Amino acid sequence: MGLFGDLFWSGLEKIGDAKLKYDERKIQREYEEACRRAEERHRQHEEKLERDRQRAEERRERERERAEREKAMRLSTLKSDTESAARELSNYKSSTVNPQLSSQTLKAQNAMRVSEAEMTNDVNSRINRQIEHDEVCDTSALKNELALVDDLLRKISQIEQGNAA
Amino acid sequence: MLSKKDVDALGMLAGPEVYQKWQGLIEKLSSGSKITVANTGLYNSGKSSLFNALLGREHFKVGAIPTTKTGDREILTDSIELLDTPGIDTPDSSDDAAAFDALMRSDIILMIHNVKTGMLNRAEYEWLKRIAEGMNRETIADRMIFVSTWTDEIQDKSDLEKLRSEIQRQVREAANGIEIRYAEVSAKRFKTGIENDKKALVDASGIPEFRNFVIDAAKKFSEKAESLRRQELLNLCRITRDRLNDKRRSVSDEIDGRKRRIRSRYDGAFETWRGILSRFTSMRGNVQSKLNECKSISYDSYFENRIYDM
Repeated sequence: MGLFGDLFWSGLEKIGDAKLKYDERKIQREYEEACRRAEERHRQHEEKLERDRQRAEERRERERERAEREKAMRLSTLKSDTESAARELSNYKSSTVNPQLSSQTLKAQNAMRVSEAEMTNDVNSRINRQIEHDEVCDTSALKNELALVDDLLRKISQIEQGNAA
Repeated sequence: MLSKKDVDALGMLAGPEVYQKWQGLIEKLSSGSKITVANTGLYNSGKSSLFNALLGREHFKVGAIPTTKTGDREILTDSIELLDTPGIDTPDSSDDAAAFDALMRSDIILMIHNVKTGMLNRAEYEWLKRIAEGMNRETIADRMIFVSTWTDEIQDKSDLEKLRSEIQRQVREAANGIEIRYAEVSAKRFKTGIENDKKALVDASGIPEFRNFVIDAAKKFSEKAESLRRQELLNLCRITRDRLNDKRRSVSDEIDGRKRRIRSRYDGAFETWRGILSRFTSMRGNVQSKLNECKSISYDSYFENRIYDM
């Protein structure tokens, strides 16, 4: 090989070394860049997930609060209705049920606590007492007449027995 | 035996006829052994005249207008008492009731008919029928005598015979087929005979014979009286018991009817209460339902107690 040849080959070697060195750095750079970009994307993704979580949480919170508000409103309305119905019931008992009752205890008892069976017994007893009173008034003369008839029948029977052949 | 108070009660409960029969029977039982012979018939039929003829003196008042208001009594013999009763079918209907009452208390009844008037008129026929129905059937023949008076006023014997036959038929029919003893007298002829001392007239009047007939009938009746009275008493007890049982049924039915009417009056009260209670139950159910709904949302014991205490 001559000098030229030697120069040529040594030059080529140098260029080859340099080129190689250049490619490794580039790859390293590109790799690092890629890693950085990947990390960036990952971070952005994490941030997005976090934001989504927060938004979902906020939405749930808002919904819960709204539900609580609605529940409170519904309860308030229901309580008001219940009170109104209970007041109406109490008035009905005082004005309509109590005049039918004889028992002061039942009259004094609250509408929601009083026993319907006891009230019915009380009313039935009162009506039956009135019936018995009316029956006594209306039939006492007839019952006396019946007793007189029975007394005479007994005496007639005694006379018959005393005079039987 | 029944007291006066019991008999009065029977009048109210078993009817006036039962009352009269008991009155008569009690009177008979209390009068001892004396037999009461009573007359009956239309006023002015000669009832009192006949009794005066039997007595042989003018004791009972005689007149063309109703004279006897209440039963007049006079003793005929030691064991016989005559009872002159008011005439029937007079304008005063209380006379009939008084006469019937007196007859039912007597032992022997003389039904007097004036033959001058012909056959029995409707009032006499119905009266005889009523007496027969009021007596124990088995004693009618012993206790009743039918007497035709004023027979001397019928001159024609065949007319009298015919009339007698018709009257006897009527009497039998009114007495429901029972043969009643029959006699004919003329008190007027008797009186004339006595006043003029004409024995033939007295005998022809039939009065002496009839007097003996009555005394004999009374004697025979007296002999049978005790068993007849017992029989009469038992019969009266049976009638009274039937009437009282009828009364008992009707009073019991009336009591039951009144009780039913009273109870039906109160059906409305029970119905009203059922309506009130039904509304009360519904209203209370509504309150309880709302309260349960409240509790399902949020349990609030304070609220619940407040509702229960309203």
